[in-house]
Amino acid sequence: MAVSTPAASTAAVEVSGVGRTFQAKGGPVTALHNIDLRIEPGELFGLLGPNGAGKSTLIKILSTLLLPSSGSASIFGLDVVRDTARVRRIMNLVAGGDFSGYGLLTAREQLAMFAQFYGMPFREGMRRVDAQIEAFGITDIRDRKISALSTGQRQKLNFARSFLNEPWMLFLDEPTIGLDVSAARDVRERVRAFQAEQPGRTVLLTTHYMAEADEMCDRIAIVDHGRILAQGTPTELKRMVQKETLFIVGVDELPSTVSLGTLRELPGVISVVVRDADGADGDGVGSPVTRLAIALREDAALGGVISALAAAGAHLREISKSEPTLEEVFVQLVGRGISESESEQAR
Amino acid sequence: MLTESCLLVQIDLTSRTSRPFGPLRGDAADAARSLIASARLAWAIEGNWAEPFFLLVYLIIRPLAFLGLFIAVLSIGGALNPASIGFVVVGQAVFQIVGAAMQGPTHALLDDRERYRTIRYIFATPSSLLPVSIGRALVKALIAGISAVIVIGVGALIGMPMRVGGPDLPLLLVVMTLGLTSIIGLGVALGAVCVQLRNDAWSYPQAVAGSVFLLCGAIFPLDTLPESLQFLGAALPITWWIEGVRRALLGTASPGLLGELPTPLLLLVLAVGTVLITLAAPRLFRIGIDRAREKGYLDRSTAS
Amino acid sequence: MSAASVPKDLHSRIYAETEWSLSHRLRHAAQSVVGRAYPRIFGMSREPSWLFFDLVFPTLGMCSFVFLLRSRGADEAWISATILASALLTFWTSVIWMMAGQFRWERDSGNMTLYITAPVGLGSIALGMAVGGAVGMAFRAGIIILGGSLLFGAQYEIREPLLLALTMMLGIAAMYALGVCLAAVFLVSGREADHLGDLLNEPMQLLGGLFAPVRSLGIVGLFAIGILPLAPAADAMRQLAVPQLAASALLPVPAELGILAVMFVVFSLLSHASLAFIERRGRADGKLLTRAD
Repeated sequence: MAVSTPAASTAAVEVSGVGRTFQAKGGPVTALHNIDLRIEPGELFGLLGPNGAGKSTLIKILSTLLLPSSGSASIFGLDVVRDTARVRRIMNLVAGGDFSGYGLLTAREQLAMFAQFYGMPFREGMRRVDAQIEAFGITDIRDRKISALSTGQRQKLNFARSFLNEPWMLFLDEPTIGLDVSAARDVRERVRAFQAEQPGRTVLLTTHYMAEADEMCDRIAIVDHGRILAQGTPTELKRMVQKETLFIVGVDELPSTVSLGTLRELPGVISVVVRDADGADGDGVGSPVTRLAIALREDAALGGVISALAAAGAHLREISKSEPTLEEVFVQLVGRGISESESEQAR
Repeated sequence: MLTESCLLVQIDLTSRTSRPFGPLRGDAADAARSLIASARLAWAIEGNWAEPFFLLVYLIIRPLAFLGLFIAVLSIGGALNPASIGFVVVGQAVFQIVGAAMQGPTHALLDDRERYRTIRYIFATPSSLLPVSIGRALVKALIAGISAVIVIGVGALIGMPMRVGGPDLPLLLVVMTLGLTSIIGLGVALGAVCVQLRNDAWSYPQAVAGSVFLLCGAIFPLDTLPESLQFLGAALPITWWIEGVRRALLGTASPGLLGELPTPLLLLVLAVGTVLITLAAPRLFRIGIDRAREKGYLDRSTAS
Repeated sequence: MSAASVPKDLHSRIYAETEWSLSHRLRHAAQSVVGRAYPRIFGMSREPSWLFFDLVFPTLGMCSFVFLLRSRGADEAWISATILASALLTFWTSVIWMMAGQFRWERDSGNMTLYITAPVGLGSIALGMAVGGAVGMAFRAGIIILGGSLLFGAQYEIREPLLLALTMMLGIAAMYALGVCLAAVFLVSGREADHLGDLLNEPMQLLGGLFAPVRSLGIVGLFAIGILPLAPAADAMRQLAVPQLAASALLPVPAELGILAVMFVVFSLLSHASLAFIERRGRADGKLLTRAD
């Protein structure tokens, strides 16, 4: 097979016009429509969308499991169709809900086997195996058979396997599915640490957990019905729904010496409205609270508002930032919630 | 109210385990319904009716390959005589039913536990697992019976000597009824053992079927075995069943000690064995299911 | 991660990393074979079920045939041949279920995804499976021969042990190569693969001349010896280990060895094509390599 020289692209992942159609009994099904995507080296990029949106299909194409029906894609300049062998040398994949492995092997043996598959010299491979076992805190189960491990332990082992070849490109396909909160958090921390160890390591994460995407990703693409609806940082995406920064400031009561109009005139303030006024706080005890919803052009303008309220003698009770969630972004883009999307696609 | 509910639950739990002979009185209709439903399911699953090629494999190719194998080995010892052919053909044909019926209950339980993952739901219904297992076994035996008829038909074509005047139908009916009952009973008892295992459960039915094949005189006279094994073989109702079918179809008894026994004695031994197994099997089944439930193996698969 | 921290020559560095020399690739292939053989050789014996599948079942079958032969007053040399045939059968059973059928299991368990996305290549995986399977089965076959010979007082007259060893190795190699060829068929068959496995079991024992010489099958035997590795392997082994039965052979040993060698080459080439087909078709249709979601 002819090997191409690396393309001039400086991207980690470059997807151009990729489409994928499957033959099904009822007729062809298009899972991806003309996808264009660019991920920079060192990014943790998220693909967010409901089940059946096409996220896993795109990951399968990029990880060389699947051929695109149209378009092209490359990983660090290596074409996923023509340079398959090279791509596989620098990437790895973790899929959620995965129970791969040989039940009769111990955890350490399983990792050692994969170290061989990635072409590491034996000693170096075993060194990496032991390092990953320790990094993931699974030393106590290293000599336990795979069949005896819990879901969380297996998934940690899966991750440990994926880090063995120190991939430049790591694909995580719904990696925390089925994990409890603590295990999912551990996994997220390890992924961040893995990226931090070597500049340029790039991660593509698919998930339908909005909070996970919001927390982890540098940039996110929202995918539905095989199309990318929007791309950007979490903040940029949220600004699509709510362009200004919104703070909720709670005071005992609005002093007579300051009015909403006065506050509106402060630098950086877009609007101030009374959101609600409680006769008591949440558990029915204490003094009343007046909450003001203050929209600002930038976060820094909050200081001026707080100073003005304090100078007028208002007692500050609470301050919180109100941001739209990615779910709200999704609803705005798609017109329905992510769980409704999943129900619809299941039908 | 709470005490009454608990008492009712306790009675129900107790009654499930304290009925050694299976369903009684008003439960008979439930058992029949479960059996029929299970049989219909087995007919759909086991029959390969939608796949003609695989129907061909299981009903015709495999059984005839077995037969061909035995006939070929038989010919090593010298020229084949019709009696030898008849001996092997009938033994091979009947043993197909033996294998299917004996493994049926175990496969039903293990399939429901591991492949279809429905055993917990069936167990939670008022139905007993016993008629469910028997229904599956009956259909497996019926499908194997079709294959057995084909094997006997081929045997007749290659020189198997049939009984003058045709098969002894009354004898055939009696031995088949007794034999099938005993083998399903054995299968039920085997199922009860296998469901208590987590690992290697699938291996036991095959191992038992293979051992029975060796001991029951299916393809060689019982006298060929060492004496200790002959005794074991004689204790199996299957041995008497196969002999009874041979006499009904071929009109001649087998060579050796077994063949010298009169037919009424053969029927008596078969009947006694069948009764003993029929009495013991449901009790063993219930004990096995209860033990599996205690161990938590009722809904745990071999892989988990 | 800021763009400033990413080295400017990252792409060139990565491209250079993907350049594997010939020696690296050869070493990698050998490591992969050993890696995949490991679970077969060491892992398989950790569960007691191997005793059933690899010892008890073949022994029960062997005993049935031995008693059948004795009931017919056959020459005791045939008992020895039957024991050898039972040992050979363990390899064939391993070929069906642990080679041809194994890729389906690998797909359903998710291992296939990991193999495809790793730089290992299905060829190394298949070779590792074959080597591991053959080594594992050789141990079991040895126990069957030893046990059966002691149990039934079997005797052998091996005049050319090296030739016998070569026959066995070629026969086993050809069988495993055939197994890899069939892997594609098993994968494409989906759930029907279990039925395929059953079809390849007892009918092949007959056609392969394992327990009765393939010569007794007439023209079918000639056909069988030309396409089924079991047939020339069993026939040649019988001649070499139990020379009293040489008259029952279909072809002389050199001819059968030649057939096995050709089979090995042909099946090896076909297995290469089979694996390429699996990967190509799997990546094209998206169903063969990954379990249904």
